[in-house]
Amino acid sequence: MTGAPIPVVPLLAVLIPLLPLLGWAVLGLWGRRWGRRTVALVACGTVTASFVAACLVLRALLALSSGDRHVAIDLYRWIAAGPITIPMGLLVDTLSVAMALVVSGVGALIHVYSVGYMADDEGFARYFAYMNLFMAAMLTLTLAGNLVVMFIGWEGVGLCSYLLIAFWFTRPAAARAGVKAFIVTRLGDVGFLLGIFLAFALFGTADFTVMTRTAAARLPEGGAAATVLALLLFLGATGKSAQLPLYVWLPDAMEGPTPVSALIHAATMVTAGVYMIARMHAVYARAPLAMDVVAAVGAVTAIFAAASALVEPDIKRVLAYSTISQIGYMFLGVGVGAWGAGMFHLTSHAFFKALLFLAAGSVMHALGGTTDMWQMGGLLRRLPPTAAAFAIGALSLAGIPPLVGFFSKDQILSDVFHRGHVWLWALGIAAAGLTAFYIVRAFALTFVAAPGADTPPRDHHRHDPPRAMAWPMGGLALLSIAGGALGWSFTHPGVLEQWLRPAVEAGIVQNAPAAAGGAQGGGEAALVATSVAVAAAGMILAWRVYARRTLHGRSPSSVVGDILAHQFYIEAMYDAAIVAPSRALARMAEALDRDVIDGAVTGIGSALAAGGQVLRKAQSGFLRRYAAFMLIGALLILAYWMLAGGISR
Amino acid sequence: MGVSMAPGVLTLLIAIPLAGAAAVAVMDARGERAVRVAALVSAVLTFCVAGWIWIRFSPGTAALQFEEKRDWVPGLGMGYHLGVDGLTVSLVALTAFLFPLALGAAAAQIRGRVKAFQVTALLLEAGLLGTFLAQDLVLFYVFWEAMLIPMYFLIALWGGPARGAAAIKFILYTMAGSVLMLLAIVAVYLQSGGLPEGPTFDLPSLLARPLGLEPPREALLFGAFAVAFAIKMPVWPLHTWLPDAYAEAPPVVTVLLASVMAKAGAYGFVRFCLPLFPDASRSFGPVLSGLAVIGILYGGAVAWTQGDMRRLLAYGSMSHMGFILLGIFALNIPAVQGSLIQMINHGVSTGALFFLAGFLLDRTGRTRTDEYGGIAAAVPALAAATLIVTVSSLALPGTNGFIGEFLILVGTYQADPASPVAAVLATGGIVVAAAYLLAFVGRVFHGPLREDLRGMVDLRAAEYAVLVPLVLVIFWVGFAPQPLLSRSEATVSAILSRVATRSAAPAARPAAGAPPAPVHGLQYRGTSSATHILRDPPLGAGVSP
Repeated sequence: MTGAPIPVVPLLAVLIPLLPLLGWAVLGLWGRRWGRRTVALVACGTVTASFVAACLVLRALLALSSGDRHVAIDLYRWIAAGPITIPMGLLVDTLSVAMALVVSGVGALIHVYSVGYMADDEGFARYFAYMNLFMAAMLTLTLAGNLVVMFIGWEGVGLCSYLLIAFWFTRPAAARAGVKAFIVTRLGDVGFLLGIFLAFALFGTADFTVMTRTAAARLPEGGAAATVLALLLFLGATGKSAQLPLYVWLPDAMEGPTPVSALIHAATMVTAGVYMIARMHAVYARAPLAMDVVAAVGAVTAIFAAASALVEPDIKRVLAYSTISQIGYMFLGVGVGAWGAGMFHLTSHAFFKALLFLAAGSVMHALGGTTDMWQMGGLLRRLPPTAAAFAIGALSLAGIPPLVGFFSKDQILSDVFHRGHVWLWALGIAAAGLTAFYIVRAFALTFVAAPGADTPPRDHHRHDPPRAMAWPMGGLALLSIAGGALGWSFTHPGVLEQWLRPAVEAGIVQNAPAAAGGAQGGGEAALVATSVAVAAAGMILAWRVYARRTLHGRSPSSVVGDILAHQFYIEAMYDAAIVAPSRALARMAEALDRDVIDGAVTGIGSALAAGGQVLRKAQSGFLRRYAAFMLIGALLILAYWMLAGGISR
Repeated sequence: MGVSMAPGVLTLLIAIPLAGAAAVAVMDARGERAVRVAALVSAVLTFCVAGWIWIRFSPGTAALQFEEKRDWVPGLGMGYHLGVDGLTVSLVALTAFLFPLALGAAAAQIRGRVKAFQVTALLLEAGLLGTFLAQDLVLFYVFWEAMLIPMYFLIALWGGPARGAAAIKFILYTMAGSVLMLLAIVAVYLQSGGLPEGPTFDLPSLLARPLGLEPPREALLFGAFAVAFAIKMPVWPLHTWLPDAYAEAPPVVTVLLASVMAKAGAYGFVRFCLPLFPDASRSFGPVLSGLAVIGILYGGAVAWTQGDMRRLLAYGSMSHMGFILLGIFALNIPAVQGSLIQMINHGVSTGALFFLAGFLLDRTGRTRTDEYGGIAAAVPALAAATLIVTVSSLALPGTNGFIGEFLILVGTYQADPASPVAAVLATGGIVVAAAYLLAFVGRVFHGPLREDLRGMVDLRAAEYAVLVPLVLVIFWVGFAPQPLLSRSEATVSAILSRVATRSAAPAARPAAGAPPAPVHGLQYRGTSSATHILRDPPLGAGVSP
């Protein structure tokens, strides 16, 4: 729209989601008959090609001046009915390109890792077909030009999440977890859909470019329209991004293969809610109340999920709670209007959390699928590269400089503080301490502590991961170390934030002037020192407790431990307050249907039949007689009215 | 824009299945293969004609196309009047599309009285096509009844153990509706005595001038038609024939019941209730919207509790039909357009689900979902096909189901006055749909593979031939629905402008040049096209006899 037409950008932008979609199609149709090599080549090839295309788009945008980096592409008229027109539209701007690079880049690495991880699985081709479909959906979500096209991707990733969580569908737990994930996120999707309907009512369109440009004019600041729209979309985000109160599906989602957890349930899909809010920032900026809700939900989720991770015995579930908690930080960031910081943490989290999951997968691969950390221990010697990868990821997550997690988390906390949300900042700092604690606990139990009493005896050979798994871990480790360069400076915006600025500040008229960084130089140092000190304290405490297994046994005895181990009994509350009543209601409807409604009809029928004594005696004759009566009656009426009509005329 | 003509082609459409039925009837019943081939050929020929009509149909006009009109009983104002417009052209194509597939799938399912089955099925097809094509109330009624009888026999003769009771229930229900409709048709005829054309059953003539019904009488006639159509769809609480009929009919017949026959009810609302009784449509719209929402949630909830595969799908089908009713009575273009395309989508997706249920029954004879388990491991292609069809039923974007439900809901959301509430509740229906459909997939296909199902056979070539076209339509409509939407838009505009303008000027047309009356239900903030539907001529204006 605003940008000069660049023919090459639309073509590349279409290819980015289209290539994995083609990959899905061919793998779905012929994958079962192909060899594993071919399947792997197609699957990894399409995603890598998408990444290359995204890089080329980046290069094309770099050639433009920063105000022109915005290309809206309407491929064709998708749906049109009356006043509603929805094009199959893509939007290439600095925000979507950054997200596409993260998604396709991390996606490509995890595809390669999967070739090693899934090498012996019967469903190899099915796995990669689903993974490619996921990439296509996620990249559609990323590059969508309007809310409806985004919804294609939004639901598509949800479908793939369901399919991949339940990938080992013969295991009842996996099948159940898949259904749970789909239904819980769909609850959020109701909000998202209603948000789309409201967007059409308010704007007459769901086009991002138009909404961003006209939000300030159409939506009164703080008005009900903007607030309701923002909150409805946020409801969708809480489902997809596993925030309170719809987070319950994500821990169970760990039933899926570990690379799936890394790609979908850590790096990409679950951050879609954050991306959506950044995309819709112009609307959110008009709704301060909704922003406060987003920030508060994010902060509370961050500390709640970090607390739940403290006592979790399963390594993947620790990482799942950690993901919930870290996404809470991202919402905290976008909730205070720090769009750039939120997106930076999204990127940084994609690197280090994917790394942590891949390292955990490498451990499971070596141990034959065990996820219980109390059955691990002492793996530092047997899996040194894996341990190193996990350590890098853990330090980054804990926010230790100079790793990427330090920069991105502190950017958010600093923005939160400077925008005057001291209480939310304090929650964030507290969660940072818990984060450091639980991740060091996980590292200590897995790699350092002496194997516990209930650890099954096993051989002591080294089980370093195969190369296909090692290389992607290396790449992500590198990104986790060097990624901080994207946001190096605190005193003025980092590279990523500057790049995103034209996209995430468009349409905001009177942006509350962010407290100038330069003036706060001294305060900034204090903030950073506080968060690093809290993180270090958490790490040291965890190390002292768990590296030597001072705390034995898996079940914490205290009341607090019990509450944590049951995640504050939220699942139990869901069962009691929602699931059980829904089932009861459905059963009531069923009984009503059978006994009352159908009963009434059958009763009337029987009464008639008994009266005429027709039905029971001559079932087949009944039909004919009935038809005859009907016809005769109709003709009589007809004749009568014709006569009457004739007379009156 | 001009209308397409081709004399006799619509008669041909009805005549081919009739001729096929006649030809099959005189064939030797022992040559089952020949009988099947002959029936299939006539169904395919019918589809070719219907496809040709669909392609040649000119979008952009509300007028009838390929129109045929002959006197039948001129003294009584009855005519043999056929025509297609935006409302029916795709429904006709859908009907003709599904019959060859159903006859193909029947080869494996119908073992006894093959010849009689093929004859009855072809008669049903002729009846259904006639119902959609008839433009004369009596002719419509004749076809409406003519499709009932074959369906009764298809259930009663080839159904499951409780077929007799199910068939009786079905016929009693629908006939009760038919009687009311017949009375209403006669009343409309008598009312039309005041028109310049004299009393007539001809629909376009009836619509050319306001009927001038008194409000109570209009309400009564609207109600009589509505009950007949509501039973057919079915609408809660007139639905209790449905689970029995759907579960007892042979699976291919259930396909026809759910995919095509249910649409005749929905079609009736748009074709007759809205334009003939516009004021009553507006007054009673909220009631029907309410029933639609109840049907969506209630049908879904009951489906969730069902242990029998086909009863689960039957209640699910009813739940989905609720969306169609909701869209019709939102009375604005997006919602009604959504309902029309959803009729096609429901036909394809629900039809495909019942085809798949039939394939499972053919293999195992088991009807309860808990008698299966983990069979995705044994029959991966069948599982993949089920997944795609399920996704389409769940209305995920990228499939056909999304287009319809999205338009219905976005339109309902903006219709006046309390419709956002209806839209919110109905949107909740997508969660319910996920609950029962994933429960179905989960119980049948996931979990540990049952030992006794280990040797289950995956899709056969004939079954691929049935499923592949359906899956192609699912994705085609999902990504490119415009060919369907553009064919119906002009007709929908014309019908809705009748419903809207009647309130502004009950007896007289608005004078030329006068500012257009505000259009009910189309207050779109943000776009200025709220009045564009008035540009199209009122229904029937171009076809005065």
